[in-house]
Amino acid sequence: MKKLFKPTILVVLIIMMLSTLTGCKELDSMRKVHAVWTEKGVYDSFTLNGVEYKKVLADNLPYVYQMSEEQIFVTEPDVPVLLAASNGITFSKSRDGNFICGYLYDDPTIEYALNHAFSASEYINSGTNYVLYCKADIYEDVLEIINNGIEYNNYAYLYYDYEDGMSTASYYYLTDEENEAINKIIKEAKPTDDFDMDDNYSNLYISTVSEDHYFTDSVEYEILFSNDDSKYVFTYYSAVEEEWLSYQVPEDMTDTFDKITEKERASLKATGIF
Amino acid sequence: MVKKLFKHEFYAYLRTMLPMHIILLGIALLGRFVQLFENDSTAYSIVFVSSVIVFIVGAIVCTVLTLVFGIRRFHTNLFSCEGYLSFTLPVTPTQHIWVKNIVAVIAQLVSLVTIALATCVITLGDVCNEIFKAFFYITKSMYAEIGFNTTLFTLEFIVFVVLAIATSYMLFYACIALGQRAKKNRIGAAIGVFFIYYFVMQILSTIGIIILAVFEQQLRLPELFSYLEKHPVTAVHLVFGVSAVVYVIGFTIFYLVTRSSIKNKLNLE
Repeated sequence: MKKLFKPTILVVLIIMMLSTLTGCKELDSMRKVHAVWTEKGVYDSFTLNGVEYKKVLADNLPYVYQMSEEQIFVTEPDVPVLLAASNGITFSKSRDGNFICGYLYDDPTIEYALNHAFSASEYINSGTNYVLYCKADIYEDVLEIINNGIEYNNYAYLYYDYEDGMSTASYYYLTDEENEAINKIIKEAKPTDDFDMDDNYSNLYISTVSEDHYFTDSVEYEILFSNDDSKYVFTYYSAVEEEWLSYQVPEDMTDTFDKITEKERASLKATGIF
Repeated sequence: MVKKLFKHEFYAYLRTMLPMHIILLGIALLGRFVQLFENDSTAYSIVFVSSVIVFIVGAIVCTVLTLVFGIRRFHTNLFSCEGYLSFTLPVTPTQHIWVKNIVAVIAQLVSLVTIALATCVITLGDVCNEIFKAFFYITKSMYAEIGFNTTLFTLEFIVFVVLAIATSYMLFYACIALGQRAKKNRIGAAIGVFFIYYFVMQILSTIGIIILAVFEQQLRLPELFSYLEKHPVTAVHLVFGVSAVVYVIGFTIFYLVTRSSIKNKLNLE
């Protein structure tokens, strides 16, 4: 027994020493989504993984197009990472990491108060505002884009690449020629109720985006396309007419629409839908 | 003599509990060792989850065994053959009961401390550091928000835990003391007493709930709940306070039953 004592102590000490030198993946992933306000009590900027984000101070803040499902939690600097989710303000991050947005209480201290059981009930009915933060290095550019007025004449859609049973979300931004084709249909084509479409068809939603692909006004258009043929119907809800309008895509545009729907068709084929 | 009684009681616990605590700490250390090889593989996930499950089971076993050991010692020392020797000692039944109860409570608290220590070991390093940071942050925030009440809550919680443990043991002592009055199968009788107690308590609490529901307005319960909702700090104090009173009453009843049985109806046959 005595002979075993020293080796046991040695093993214990080695494990304890190694333990202090190694990290924890789960903790690292929590740190990746834990941001801290640059200055305590000031909600104009925060730092996430060493990158500074600044609050975009402009009227009519646009919506970010490429939003991910990743949530981040912004806390005061002294809040430990384990309490970030419960004590922080929750925002969403864009896929490219350039933007972080969400809703902030008129007085952000309220959100912190809501996390405290002893004072929560006083603040339940307070209002929130949509806020947008962007990386500090693109702040001036973003501000200029917003102040110059954003035009949503470009289009994009989300599709999935399938490989080894795993899907990866990607965005397809329509080319100038394709954007022009869509705009031409919206402006020039005459809506019809009598359109030609096969029984076997799929649909694709495209969103309007700004030229730089950062923002969207959340308007969506639907393209119905024949799974076996190059027949297309373009449809959307007109806020002016207050009704759904449908357009038969003319034959001279079908090549362009073939290109537009190429990624979606590939995605559907990969899933075995057609 | 009471001092000697304490000493031997502690030694008895030490002989059984020490290996158990060392094993739990060993399991925790092994669990931490497994984490040194952290990766995304399924094999690692299986080994890691298994090590955590073993640790949790170990912690539960540690607590339950301490309880079982405390009850067993009370029964063996006072109501088995050893009872003849125990009751020839120059110690009163009251002292016997108190010594058994105090040492059992201390042993249970030591078990809880060991579990906390083992948790530190299995999370040693970054995670443990963050757990402590979170703990101190919560404490600091509580102090900032409710001031001295934080200290009171801590003290009340400790008292609550100690009373809960002491009362649980005393309940089992009372069951054993009543069960030993039976002529045959005394352990079975003690278990029977426990289940009768449990059954009676269920009926009483159901009746209590019905009374509260029926006489809700007369007892002005809505006003009370509304007041407690507006004063959460007072509510917590009240919960701890009422619980403590209930435990003290329970403890006193169980103690009196146990003492009375040992004093007046001791059956060592």
